[in-house]
Amino acid sequence: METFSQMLQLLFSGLTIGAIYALIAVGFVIIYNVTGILNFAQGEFAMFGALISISLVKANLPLWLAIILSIVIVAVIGAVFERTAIHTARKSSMTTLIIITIGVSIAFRGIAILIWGTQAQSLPPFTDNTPIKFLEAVLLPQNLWAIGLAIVILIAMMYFFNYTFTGKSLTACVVNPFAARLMGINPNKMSLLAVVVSAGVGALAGTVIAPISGASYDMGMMLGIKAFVAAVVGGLTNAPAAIAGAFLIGIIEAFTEGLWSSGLKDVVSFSLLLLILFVKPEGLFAKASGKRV
Amino acid sequence: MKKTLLSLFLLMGALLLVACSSSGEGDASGTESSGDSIKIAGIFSASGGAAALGEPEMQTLKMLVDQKNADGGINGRKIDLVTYDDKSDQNEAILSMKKALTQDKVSIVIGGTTSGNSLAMLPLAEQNQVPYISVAASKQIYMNENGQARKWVFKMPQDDQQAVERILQYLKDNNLTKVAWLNVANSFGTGGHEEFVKHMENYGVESVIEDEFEATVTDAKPLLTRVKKANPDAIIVWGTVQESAVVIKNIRELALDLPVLASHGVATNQFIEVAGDAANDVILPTGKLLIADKLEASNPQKELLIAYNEAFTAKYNKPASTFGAYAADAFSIATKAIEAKGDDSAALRDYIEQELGEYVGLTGTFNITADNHMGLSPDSFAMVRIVDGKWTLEDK
Repeated sequence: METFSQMLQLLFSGLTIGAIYALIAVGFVIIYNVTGILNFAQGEFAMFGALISISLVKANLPLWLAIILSIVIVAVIGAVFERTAIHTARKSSMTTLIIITIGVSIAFRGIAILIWGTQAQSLPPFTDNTPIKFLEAVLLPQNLWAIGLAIVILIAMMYFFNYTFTGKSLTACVVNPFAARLMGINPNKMSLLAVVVSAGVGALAGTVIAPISGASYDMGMMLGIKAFVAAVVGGLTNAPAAIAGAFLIGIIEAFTEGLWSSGLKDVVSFSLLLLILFVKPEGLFAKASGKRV
Repeated sequence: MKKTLLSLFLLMGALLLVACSSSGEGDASGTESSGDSIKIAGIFSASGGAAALGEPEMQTLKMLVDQKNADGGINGRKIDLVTYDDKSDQNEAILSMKKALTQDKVSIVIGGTTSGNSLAMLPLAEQNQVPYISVAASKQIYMNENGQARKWVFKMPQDDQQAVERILQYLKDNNLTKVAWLNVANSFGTGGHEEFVKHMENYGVESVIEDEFEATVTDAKPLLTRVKKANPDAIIVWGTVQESAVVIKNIRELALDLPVLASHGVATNQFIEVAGDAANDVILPTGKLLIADKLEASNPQKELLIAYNEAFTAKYNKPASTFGAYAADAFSIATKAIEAKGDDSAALRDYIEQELGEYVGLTGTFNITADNHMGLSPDSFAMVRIVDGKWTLEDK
């Protein structure tokens, strides 16, 4: 019984952290799908989302309004980032663009230090956070928020990419940018849209995690890297696959930490990344389509 | 295309330039510089990442020097304080030290907010044979690789060793002998862990589980399920504010009903803010400034601490911090040396090492000797417990 409740606890933890990775991984996938860029400033969107919402709450705004406003503000930051850093350099090589995103992520962290300093801050939980006991394991309402939002985003993305005109246009830009352009789709606009959406989703991830782990200027880096691992493991070309990958990584980390050692959890998840890259580079859950390699 | 890239580079270059020029030379804001004044240097990280520590240190030193000069200086000689802000940057710290020693030719240096900066600055003090009182924590600051005292360097804060020993003493006194040790996976954490392993047997404490968590930990519950299984009497969470807050929140969420001890690294009100209700009942060692008004009247530190806190609050309109107290101790020890020996650097060093003797400061009672250039013992820490978001004295 005790072992069972420990397993359940580990599963809850894994799902929570997996949900956070998922929300950031979705951003990776959207931008990658539309522009072909791996955006390493993705984790910084989460950091901005968390810190901006904290500042707004401190300015006495109600929590829900602070969260919505911070998502909007981060989406605007995303738009500015796309127009100034990505769009202007869109004809350079992929490597250049990726390095630009790394540069931007460093700049974002620097800006965050200037605004918020290096001290940790925290956001109140979305709802009353009395732990729920379930078979001796503990689940917090905030964890449910994280898991629930990840699932909502998952469904929304599936719907968006498969059943809406804009979603289809986005996909078209990936499959064949030239043909898409002939069909009257403007890839420039799509690139902007992709970055804005993923910045918004990233900001949401930040506000979800802030009550759980607190927030500080450097939180984005590790989250971004883990989400990247998750996206690659699941499949970079496909949002639902990346989300599945994120939950998988979260659960594997939780079980490694709980049954083995905390120091080894990064070793295990990064080893998994290498293994996947060797064996199944298109990702565990992605349909092999030859769209992108 | 090339043009846009070029302009990006130019922009970055411009940004760098701004950053560099703003970090130009240290501001030499000397108070009066009459012919017969005694020059001392204060080098702190008053801005940048370590500003939370360095700013009160700088402010304390300026305040105390102003007070001293208003009272007529030391033996009738005014103090000429030269301050430098190293902006939490090691290179800046070294440059400031160089400037203080070679251009400003000070008699004694106080400063080095972080251990990294102190370690970077001290070789210059040794080369130039000027006594240097550090306000950072690492043991290596006053001890070289062979465990011997560095000739020209003294240090005000306790080592991690004293904090760990204070916790062990508390565990022993309360008969909590089987403990879980969790430390953050960085130099602060592993340093604490080393001291814990080295000293636990002396206090009859054994660990049933020892493990690490990351500084960026988001959920420590998986780790804590193993702690729960190990069935300890108490849990020690050794880290700084953010990660300790997460782990301690998780302990409360899992309803592990055990005494939780934390490091002196979380002894700030910010910890209570970040951890919220979870901070309640956490027990930790801290300098006595936080609980000065709760000390017994017979404690010789009590009056000093209250006086310092009042003076600092009156001048800067915010509560004094433990870090400022390190600068205050450094200054009062320097003042005593100058009173006795004037401004000769070598004589000042010898005085602090050999003649100062037992000295009651804000941080504790210093007993500086030729072998120990720090001189504090574990009882310079008090054990406090957080009750309803307030610090209360748990032990001594």
